[in-house]
Amino acid sequence: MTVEEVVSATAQQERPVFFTAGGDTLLGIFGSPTTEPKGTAVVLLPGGWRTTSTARNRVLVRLSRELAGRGYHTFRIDYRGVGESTGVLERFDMDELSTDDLKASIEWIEQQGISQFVLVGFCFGGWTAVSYASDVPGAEGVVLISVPALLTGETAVARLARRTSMWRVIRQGLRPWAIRSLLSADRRRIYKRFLAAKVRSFLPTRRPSDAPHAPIARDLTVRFQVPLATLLDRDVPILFLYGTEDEELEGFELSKRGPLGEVLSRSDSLIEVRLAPGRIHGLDRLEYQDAIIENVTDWISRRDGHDPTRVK
Amino acid sequence: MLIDRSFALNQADPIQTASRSDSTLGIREQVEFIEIGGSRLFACLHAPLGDPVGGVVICSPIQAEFEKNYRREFLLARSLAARGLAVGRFHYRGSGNSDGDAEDATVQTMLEDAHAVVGWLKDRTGISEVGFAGTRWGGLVAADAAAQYDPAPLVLWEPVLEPPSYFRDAFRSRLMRDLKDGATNRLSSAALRAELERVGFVDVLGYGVYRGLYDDAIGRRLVTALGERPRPVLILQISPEGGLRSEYSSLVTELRSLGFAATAEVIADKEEAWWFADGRGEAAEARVGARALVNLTTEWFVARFGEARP
Repeated sequence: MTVEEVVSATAQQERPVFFTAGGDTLLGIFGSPTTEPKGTAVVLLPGGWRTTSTARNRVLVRLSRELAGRGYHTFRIDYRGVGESTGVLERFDMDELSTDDLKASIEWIEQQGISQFVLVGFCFGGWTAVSYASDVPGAEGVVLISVPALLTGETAVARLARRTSMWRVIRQGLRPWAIRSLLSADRRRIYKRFLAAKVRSFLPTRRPSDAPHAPIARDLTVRFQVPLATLLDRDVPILFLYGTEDEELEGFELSKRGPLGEVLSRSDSLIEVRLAPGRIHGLDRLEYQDAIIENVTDWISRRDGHDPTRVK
Repeated sequence: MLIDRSFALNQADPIQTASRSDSTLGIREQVEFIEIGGSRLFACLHAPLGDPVGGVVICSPIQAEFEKNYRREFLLARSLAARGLAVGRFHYRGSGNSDGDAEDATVQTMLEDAHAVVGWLKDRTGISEVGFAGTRWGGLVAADAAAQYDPAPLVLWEPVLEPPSYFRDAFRSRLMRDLKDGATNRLSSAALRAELERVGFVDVLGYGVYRGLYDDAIGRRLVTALGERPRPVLILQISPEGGLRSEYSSLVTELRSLGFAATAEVIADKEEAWWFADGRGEAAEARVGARALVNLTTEWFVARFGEARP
């Protein structure tokens, strides 16, 4: 077994760049490898909801620098209207992916003489990657982290209400702090919304399964069926990474019974589905962040046929 | 918008700068990594196209609050630059795009970073006078830094007055997350403090709260950090409703008793939970409260430094 020593990059290997996308200028951070370049750039796309290019607790910075230690160029961006980029992001919508921003990023990287790419996208960024990757001749791999397959339109309060047992609601509601907090108008509003959602959770859903799921508003994968199939036809490997407790995993498994399943079954060897323990989608635990960095780095390194074993 | 691509012609330069200018706003912007103690700090310069009349260094909050306030600070910097002030923004070492590890960050290293940015801002723009703006934890840093530059004016957005209250908020946020997740092993604030002592860090919503920062910060107070030399101070409370909280009215009273020209105002904006992201709401550019915060801060600094010369 070959054991290679990996020296992670630092800001020494990075440079900020402004590039144009439509009428706006976006910030990108271009990272160079600390070892012999493989000639491939990994483009890192954050999730939606105005997430900056660093992502929570600089996960994308750490991931970039790990990848640069393995010979990859990296590029992370602030979407239009986010972070240091100009423009205004009026609203967030899965129907308005940041493909123009990704297209401009790819063009900028190509100007640096690099024409092979791996696209890594979190949630919204994942579908942004899929929707444009089929137009990138040099796409060599796509990593999709906690991409939502089904949209339910369910709010956080409704989700919490659905998952909380009636017994638990009663027990918590009788606690002294809960009763005291009724003095606050804000709290009363939240409790009212929660109770209304709890009542609604007892109503029948439109989902065919017997499980107590939220109703499905839309299967997103229908939209991405063609670009996914195009990528697989071109032998571009795809990694789906989910947390075992991600709500998105439930949707992914259900959508595999539909059009997504048809696409994936055609190219078993090109698709890998990895599961990391916990709910990685929100990146809201350090252990989830480490799991994402480890899995993405490992998959990209193995895709190139290199042993990613790290010795420091 | 013009983009300077000079970096592409100068690959040997160890420091690469991205530059752009906006003739409509009358500003230019640079982003670069600056050297500090063998590490690199991510820094952003926003300046008028003409000569600036003064400078402002913006000290960000930390951890989840850093992300939350990001766009408002960007908008504030552009607004100040459009009115003739040069502005320096940065990511503390151990956070954002800067070098370093979060576990090594302390108030002391954050202060060193702020001072490095003052030097960089002066070097890049030729300004001689500088003011500071700080939000939440950044208020502690900005206050301490301002005390070194007489008579540096200071604006504080929802400042943390004493670090224990910040850590209490952080630990409560962790508890709320655990409640939401239905975790069975929920730890109280006291238990989280004990874990911090024992393990050296506590994971709060995906950010490490490290013992080094805790120990360095715990004895500090904003009013002490401000020093003894009076200066103009504007405190802006950000809350969806209600009047000025007692902690801020007491601060104003205390600062005035020390000779500071201190004032406080309430800005109505939806910011009741600093540790939780609200990206689903309107863009900062569109929020009346965020615009009011930026405009009021800009006017206050312009009144201190004067209008830009045409």
